[in-house]
Amino acid sequence: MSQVSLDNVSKSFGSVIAVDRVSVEVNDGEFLVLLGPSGCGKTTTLRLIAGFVLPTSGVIRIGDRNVSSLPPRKRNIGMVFQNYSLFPNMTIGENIAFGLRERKVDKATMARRVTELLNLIRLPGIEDRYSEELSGGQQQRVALARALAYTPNVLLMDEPLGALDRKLREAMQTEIHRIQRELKITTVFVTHDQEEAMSLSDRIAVMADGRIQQIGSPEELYGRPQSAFVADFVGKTNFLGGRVARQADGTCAVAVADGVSVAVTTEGRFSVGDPVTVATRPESLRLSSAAGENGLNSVPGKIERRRFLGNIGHYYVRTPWSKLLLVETAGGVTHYRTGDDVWVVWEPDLSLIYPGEAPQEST
Amino acid sequence: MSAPDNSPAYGVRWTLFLWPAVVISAVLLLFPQGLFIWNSFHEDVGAGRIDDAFTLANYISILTDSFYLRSFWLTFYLALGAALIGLVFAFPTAYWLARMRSRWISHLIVLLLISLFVTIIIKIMGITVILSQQGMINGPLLWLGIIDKPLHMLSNRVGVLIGLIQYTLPLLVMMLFSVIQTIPRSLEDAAEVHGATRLSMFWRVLLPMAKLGVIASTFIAFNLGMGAFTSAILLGGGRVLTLPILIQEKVMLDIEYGFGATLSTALLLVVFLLNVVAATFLMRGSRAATRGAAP
Repeated sequence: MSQVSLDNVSKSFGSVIAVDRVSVEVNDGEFLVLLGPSGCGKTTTLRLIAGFVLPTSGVIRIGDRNVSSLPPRKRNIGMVFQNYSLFPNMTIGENIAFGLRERKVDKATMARRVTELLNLIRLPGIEDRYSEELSGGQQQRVALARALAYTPNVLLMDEPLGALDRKLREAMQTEIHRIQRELKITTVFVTHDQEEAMSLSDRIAVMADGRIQQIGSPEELYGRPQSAFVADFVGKTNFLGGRVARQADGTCAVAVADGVSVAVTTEGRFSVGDPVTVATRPESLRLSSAAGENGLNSVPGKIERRRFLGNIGHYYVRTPWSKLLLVETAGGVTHYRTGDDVWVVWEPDLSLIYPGEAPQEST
Repeated sequence: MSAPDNSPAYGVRWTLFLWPAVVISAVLLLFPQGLFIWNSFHEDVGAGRIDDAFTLANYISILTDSFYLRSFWLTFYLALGAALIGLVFAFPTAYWLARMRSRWISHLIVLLLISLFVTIIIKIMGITVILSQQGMINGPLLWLGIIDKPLHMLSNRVGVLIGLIQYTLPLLVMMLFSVIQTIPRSLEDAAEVHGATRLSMFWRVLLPMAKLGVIASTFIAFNLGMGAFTSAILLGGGRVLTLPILIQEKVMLDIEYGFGATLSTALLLVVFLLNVVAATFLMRGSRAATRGAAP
């Protein structure tokens, strides 16, 4: 049974369409991430599920109830906000017990639950402290405990780790993952950080312009992005724009510049002359001192910049037609230096091809 | 942490430039006040002159004269009533303004500010017209048959109370507005999502956080009310004798500066003490008053 279902939900603010016919079913116990750039509609979608915003059309269900016109407090949800939103005038214990008190739970049960939750978030004994005494990471965990206190159907999280530094974020991601798995609580999580999305989710819904562009597991989205946008947003991608020169036998040859042709293995049907984009992951590309043979793609260029990142190396190669390619090498040290002339080579079956012009550079 | 050294490399201590302003302000404020208070310790000997002897006789007269004590009490409960009733109206208004998202909000604030700056005499003239026997309240009520005699709202305490409320209301709204603005909306969202009704959110989250600001604003309204002069004179019909009116009579009509000063100083002391006592009582043991969203 799905715990959350959105059926053709749309939301307009005046003439602006923030959410455009979004349909998605979140399964019981699933961790779904809404991922996308600012303004894509992910936060509005979350707020629709929460009930802070009512849909212009469509049906929202939580559990098996139609909650489309219900206010947030009647939807039995828990929510964690980006700025924690802990009540500063209450103790930690009172914060966590807030929802329980609203539901008229007796004192003994409340106290027990607070202790349980503090143990769950690994902060025992702080019931009588105040939020201003805690660090950001601790506050966020308390906010999580508060959201989970009365065992809601769904846990909603609106970019909760945005205010934390990197190390703390990763530690919190692990915590959130552990707690979600332990409680098996259905979770919808909003973020613009695709690494975070991939590390936490069962499924990711990539959104842009108010619509879901693609929804699937992290592996599916990374390995088989269905559009140039998704390929660009999830992970890094190199795009080469050009026109189809030839198509035959599951291979498409694309003219990306004067005298430079790139082959892509694809089942797609294209006509000669169609504008297309060839997408390749940086880790699929290799540096070579000579042009590749035997059906390998080869693109010439000059190394413009080199970044040593410890376990990997990033090489920025500028092609003669001013295209910048990112090549990722496993093991950071190679003999290539900035200014070297190189060839970038790769196998045609490592690329994907999309119709239309290449998206703007996002590196 | 030691204070930072403000003297820049080129040697001019800018703080020195503040001293003239401070000194002039102090002189202009403290000197006349001090003189006035000094007057209160001397008896009047007629024709605007005061005796040379330092005495507490004036103060004792006030404390033993029920006429003045009743005036203190009247001034007090009018001021308190106006502040509290004003608060009841101002808080929801301020909340609504603070949470408004439309672009009309700046227009409304401007209207509010304009009403603040309109001279009190003009405002009271307006009140006089509204509260009169054929005015905007009595007129419709009589016509609808809800009452068969017009309500007397002028030349009595009711009129003065209404005048005081009208005077402090815009100020209360502005002050409460800025207080509520410091409380993040997301806290209300957090309360609602976790099951709180609007009322519950107000009671458990908003009011405790606004407590300090509400108390301070109410104090300001109360203190203003304790100085009720114009409202009392124009709407009281000579029958509502607040302490400021008595002070004015003593100073302007009876030309007794000594006793007038005593009444003023006594009023000042009473208001000051009330503020201190009430503040201590209201803030004591409430950590909530010292924490909140505002830095």
